[in-house]
Amino acid sequence: MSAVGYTALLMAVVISAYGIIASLVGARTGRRNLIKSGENAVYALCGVVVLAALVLMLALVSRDFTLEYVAGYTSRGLSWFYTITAFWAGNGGSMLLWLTILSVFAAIVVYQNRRKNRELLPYVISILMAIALFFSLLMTLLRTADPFVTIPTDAVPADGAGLNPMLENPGMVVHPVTTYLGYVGFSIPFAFAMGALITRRLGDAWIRSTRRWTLLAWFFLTIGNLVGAWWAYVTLGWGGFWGWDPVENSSFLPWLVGTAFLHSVMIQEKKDMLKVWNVVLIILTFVLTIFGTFLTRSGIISSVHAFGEGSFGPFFVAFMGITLIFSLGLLFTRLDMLKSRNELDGFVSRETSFLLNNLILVAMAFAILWGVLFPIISEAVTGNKVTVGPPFFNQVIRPIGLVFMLITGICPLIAWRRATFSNLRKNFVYPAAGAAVALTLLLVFGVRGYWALISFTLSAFVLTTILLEFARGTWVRRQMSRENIFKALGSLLWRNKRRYGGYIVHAGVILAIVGITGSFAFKQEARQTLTQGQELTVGRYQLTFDSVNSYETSEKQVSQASFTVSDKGRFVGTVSPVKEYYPRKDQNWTRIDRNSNLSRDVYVALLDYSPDTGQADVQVDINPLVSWLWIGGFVMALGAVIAMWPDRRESRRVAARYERHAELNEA
Amino acid sequence: MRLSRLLNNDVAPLKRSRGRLVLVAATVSLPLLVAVFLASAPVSAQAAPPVSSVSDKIICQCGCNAVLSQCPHEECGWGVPAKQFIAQELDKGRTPAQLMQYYVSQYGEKILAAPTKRGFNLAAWLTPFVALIVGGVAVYFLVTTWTSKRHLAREPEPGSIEESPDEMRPELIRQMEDELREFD
Repeated sequence: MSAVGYTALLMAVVISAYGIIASLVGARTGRRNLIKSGENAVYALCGVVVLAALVLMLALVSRDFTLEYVAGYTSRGLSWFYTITAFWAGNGGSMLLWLTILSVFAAIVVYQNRRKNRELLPYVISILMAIALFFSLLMTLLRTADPFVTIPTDAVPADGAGLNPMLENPGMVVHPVTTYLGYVGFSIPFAFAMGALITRRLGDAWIRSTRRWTLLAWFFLTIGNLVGAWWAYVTLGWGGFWGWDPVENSSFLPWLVGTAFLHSVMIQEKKDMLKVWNVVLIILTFVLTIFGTFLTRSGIISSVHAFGEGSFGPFFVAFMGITLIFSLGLLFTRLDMLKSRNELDGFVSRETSFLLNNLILVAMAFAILWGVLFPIISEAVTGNKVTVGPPFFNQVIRPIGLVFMLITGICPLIAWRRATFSNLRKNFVYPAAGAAVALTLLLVFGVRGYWALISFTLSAFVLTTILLEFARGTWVRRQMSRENIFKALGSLLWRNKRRYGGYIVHAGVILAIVGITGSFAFKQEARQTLTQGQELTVGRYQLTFDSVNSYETSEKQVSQASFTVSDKGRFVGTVSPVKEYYPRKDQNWTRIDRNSNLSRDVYVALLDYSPDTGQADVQVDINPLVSWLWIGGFVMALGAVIAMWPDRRESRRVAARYERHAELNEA
Repeated sequence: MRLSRLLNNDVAPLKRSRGRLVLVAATVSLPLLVAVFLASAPVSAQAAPPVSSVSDKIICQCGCNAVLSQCPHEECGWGVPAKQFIAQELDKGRTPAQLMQYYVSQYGEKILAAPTKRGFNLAAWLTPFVALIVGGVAVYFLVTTWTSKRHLAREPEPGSIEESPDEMRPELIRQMEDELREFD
């Protein structure tokens, strides 16, 4: 079976190399049969890569311990559900997942463009095939991440080593896949941008053709990051969801730059400006997705999120270097063709606020990248290796993030083209009043903390802005069509999916920030060793140690404790955190439990339990408002789905706008 | 015209009582809800600083390279006693700053989870903000240039459109058409 998988991957190398050559030669010579052959190569690549993925999945499911990968990441006792997780538990499977998603996406792109973008497509294919070639080489000829390595017959184990208990969580079924869907999704706009540069077709076709791909990639990366944070929260047991770990940072970076790109292309669409900037942003986003994969999988950094120990670091560095040199060099040679009219009607306009939004997002990405790289820079310059951890990121990102919130609120209040003073005054008065009301009430109700108050006040400002946008739009629709309020709201949303979907995403971001602010600023915690019947008080909550249930399975020894949670003496629920020991791996693991509602989580981790003394070592965290982070994430995803939902009316509007730009440019 | 002004976020036409009522209700109800909800959550400051006020700022010395509060080893030989010590000292009234000083005196600056704010390390703290300011200045000049280009490109008109009392000036008509297209 392994031979089938490995052969399929070898075929992927050959096919992707052929696809590059056929597409390039076909495009250069105008030979249609070669171009068509290049397109067919994409479908063939998709076929062989999916075959390799199916072979690996079959080997995992059937516990074929003749494969090193299967023996390393599964065991006979592993449930079928987590057998899926084992697919991407190691480097080989992860690289295969990347390649599978890429080849499926590439096939969809070729199918979508069978009757359009014909000049661009051969170059788009060659770029996508070049990326596919890199990943397939890693798994085959470079021998750094081969998932089909076999074990000699006489050394095949009776059972596998099992999955890392950290990965036995539903979040790990979703997080890697969605993150990779996001990462790989950004390859599509990148390939189209490169295609546009190569063919000198630097109009708006590449942006128009990839708008939905970009949104899709952003959508998945958002889900990937949020589910990753949720997984860390419920799995790692330290009571938080974000630790500014280098791996967390590396997946946040493409999200930030990709978000800047999403906003920046709107200016190109509206004003035919920022063409160079948009290409730079998509190049950076793509390179950062490779950087994220590299950091997670190379094992060069110590991180609870880094699950690989590959030797492919130098290959990734070389790939990133070549990509940057090639794409920026190509951009440099086309600068003359990317000149825009670059005219703005007024200094204070929504266009300017979009530029500021881009500045803040890119500045945040820069600050994070700077923090990740500073230890290396410091060591090179001074010889001292310093640590750049959460205190640095919290202090640097917090003020920039608050400015970002402010811009998010201000942006919809400023008119396109030019805002007059009276226009600004009228539009700002209600949101500013809303923010003032919120601040006053927060102070009256005893909420304290400088940063938290600013964050909550800005949240009220932005949410009021968004609510007003919906209220105003609904009111106008009612005036126009005499619909009832719900129908008017529905048609408002349905007829302007992109605009109001975007506002819903913004609302989600703000809800998430409320959750982050509450849980960071007002966290309360305690750790204590308790005997049965004993009570631990944290803030206004009491935790009483009731009982322990100990049992064994084929995989692990389990101690499940039960605690009663009370709020100032009033019963609010029970929690049952678990302590596990995996004898085969000689590894302890904690599974936390929470009593959760919209205002707070009572988060309990059983760090240790001694059957001899009956004592339980317990960590309790009160995390205010943390549920709003997950709710905000859901709202963001919902808004993104609405924004990218197919809309013929919107497509016609955008097409007409681009035609106007083309006419103006010709004139 | 009224429609285009409405769509252009101009609230003047909403002087009709129902429209204004919608705006006032939206303005007051949401912040009220947010504030009341937030105030009902356990978000008031606690008496003693939490352990994380120190454990978030120092590196665990077990070799895991994580900050103390995020050390993945639940039975960490260095981390667990350190957290207990921090909790005890905070309860006794020592401040997080004093405890940080204590740990630096014991282990040196390598225990800190962030660079100090002196010498070359200042570059770590200042560079992001310098970059942001430089970027801000660049945006300012770009917008100024692009705006002046627009104004220079426009032919001088006697009784220019800015001064024209005519509500149906060409620019507004264009804007209205655009906004209508956006909206419907």
